[in-house]
Amino acid sequence: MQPKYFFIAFILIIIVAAVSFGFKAPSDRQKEMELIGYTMEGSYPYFPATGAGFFAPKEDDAILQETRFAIVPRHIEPVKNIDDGLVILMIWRHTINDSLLQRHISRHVVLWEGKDSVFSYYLVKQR
Amino acid sequence: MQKNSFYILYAAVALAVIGMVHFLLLLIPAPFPVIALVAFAAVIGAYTLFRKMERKILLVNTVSVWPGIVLLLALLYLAITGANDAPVTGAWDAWAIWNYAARYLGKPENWKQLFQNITNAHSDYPLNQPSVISFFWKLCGHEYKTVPFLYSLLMTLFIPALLFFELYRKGAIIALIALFIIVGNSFYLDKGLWQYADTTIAFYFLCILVCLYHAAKSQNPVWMAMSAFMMACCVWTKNEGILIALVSALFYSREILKKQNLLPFFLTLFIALVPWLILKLCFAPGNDLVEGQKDQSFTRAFELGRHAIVAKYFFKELWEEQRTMVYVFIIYCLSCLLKHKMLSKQVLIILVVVAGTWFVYIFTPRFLEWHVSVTIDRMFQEWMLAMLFAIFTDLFRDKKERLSGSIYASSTLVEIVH
Repeated sequence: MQPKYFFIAFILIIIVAAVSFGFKAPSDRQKEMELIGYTMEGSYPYFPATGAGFFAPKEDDAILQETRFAIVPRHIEPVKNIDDGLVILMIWRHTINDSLLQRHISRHVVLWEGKDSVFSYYLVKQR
Repeated sequence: MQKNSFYILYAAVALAVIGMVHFLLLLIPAPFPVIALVAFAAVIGAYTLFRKMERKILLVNTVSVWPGIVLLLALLYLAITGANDAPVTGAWDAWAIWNYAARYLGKPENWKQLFQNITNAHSDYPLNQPSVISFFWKLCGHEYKTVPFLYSLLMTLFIPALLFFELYRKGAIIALIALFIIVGNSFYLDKGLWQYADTTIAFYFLCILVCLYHAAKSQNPVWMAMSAFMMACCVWTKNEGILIALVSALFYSREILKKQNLLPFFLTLFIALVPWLILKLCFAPGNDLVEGQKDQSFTRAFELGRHAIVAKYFFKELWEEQRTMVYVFIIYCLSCLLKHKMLSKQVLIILVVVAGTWFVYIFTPRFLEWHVSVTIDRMFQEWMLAMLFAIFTDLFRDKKERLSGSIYASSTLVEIVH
C-alpha cells in the first residue's frame, strides 16, 4: 500500500470521526444540566478559583472573570470567593465519608445532583 | 523500515515540534501569527530533513493491498466507535490538568499563572500535549472540544498503525494479530479517548523502541538522532517520560556511545529538551511526589504491606484488562526458555520501567491505596503497546530473514553505498 493512499484514507477517517464527534448528542448529564439553565460547555474546560485549594488563580485573572461557576474537587470546603453564583461541587467519593459530605452540602441549596463511578456532582447555590 | 512507518514517525515529530515552538515563542511573547508562521516553517523544515534522511536509510513498501485495507478498516472502526463513545470533554484529568493547562497557554497575557496553582494542580507536568492543543485552538479561533478529541484520536490511531507497519516485516499475519490484539481490547480505546497524555506517551515510547531497534540493526546515526528526539518527546509529555528515556538510553548505552552516534544523539536530545528544561528550571513548581518525601521515606521500600497493596491492584488490573497480553507474555517467556535465551533488551527496558513505577508507588507520599487504584490502569496504557512491539519483534523472525538472509545485511550495504 502506497503511503499516499494510506495517508489520504487516514485523513478521511479522521474527518469522519471529527464530524461524527461534532454532531454528537449531549449526554444525559448535559441534558439535565441544561434543564436547569447550566451547560457544562459554559465553563469547559476551565474551572476557576474556588478558594477550596485546588485552583487558586489571582483575583485579576482574566479567566476568572469569564464565569462564576466553579468545581471543587477531591474534598469539600466552604465555597469562597464566588459571589452568589451557582457552583458545581464535584466530590471525589474516595476521599470523603457520607456524614462529612452531608454536613458540607447542607451549607448550600442543592439544585441538582448526579453521580458516576468516581465523583458525586452537586449544582448548588450558596445560602 | 516501511515507508508508512517513517511518515508516522514524521507526524510524531511534526506534532511535537509544533508544541515546542508554541511554548518557546510564548516566552517572548510573540503574537500568534508569528508563532503559527514559525511553527509551520519548523514543520516544513522537519519534512525537508526527513526527505534527506530518506535517502540515507533503507525504506521499503511491501505492505500488500488487502492487509492495508484491513488496517484501514480497523482504524475506521476505532475512529467511529471512539467518536461515539468518547466523553465530550474528556475524563477528569483532561479537565483538571491537560486541557486546563492548554487553556492557560491560550492566554498569552496570563499563561504563567498556571504555575501559581500549586496545591493538587500538578502544574509541574510537562506541556507537550497542552501546547499542541492550545496551538490548534488558537489557530481555529475558538476552544473547540473537537481539538483535544482529535489529538487523542490521532495518538490512538497512530499506535496500531505504527505497530502494524513495523511488524509487517514479520509477515502480514503477525502484523494483523498484533492489530487485532489492540483493536479487540476496548480498554485501549476507552483510555485513548479520555484526552489524557498517557496515550501520547505510549505512542512516543513505542517510537523510541522502533527507532532504537533500527538504530541497533542498521548502525545508522540517523536512527540514533531520531531515538533521542523521541526520548525528549517522552520527557516533554509526562514526568514518567524521564524514567522511560533514562532506562532506554541506559540499555542502549553501548550503541549510543559509539563514535558515530555520540554527537547526533546528544545534540538532538539537548535541542529537543530545551522547552522542557526551561519549563522545569524557570516555571514549574516542585513535583508533589518528590517534595512529599521525608527523611524516613526510604523505609517504605521495606514495608511489605505497601508492596502487597501495589501488587493487589497491579495484578488485578493486569488480569482484568490485559489478559491477552498476559498470555502473550507467558508464551514469549516459554519460548525464551525453550530457546535458552534471555528476554530481549526491549522487553527488559519495559520491565525496568514497570519496576521503577512500582517503586514510585511504594514511595508515594499520598494515600497509597487511592494513588495506585486510580492511576494503575493508565500506566498499563503506557506500557502495553510498547510491550506488544518488543515481544513480537523478538518472538518472530523477519520474513526476509527467514527467506533470504537478513534484510539488514542488505540495508546496511545500501547505507554504506549512500
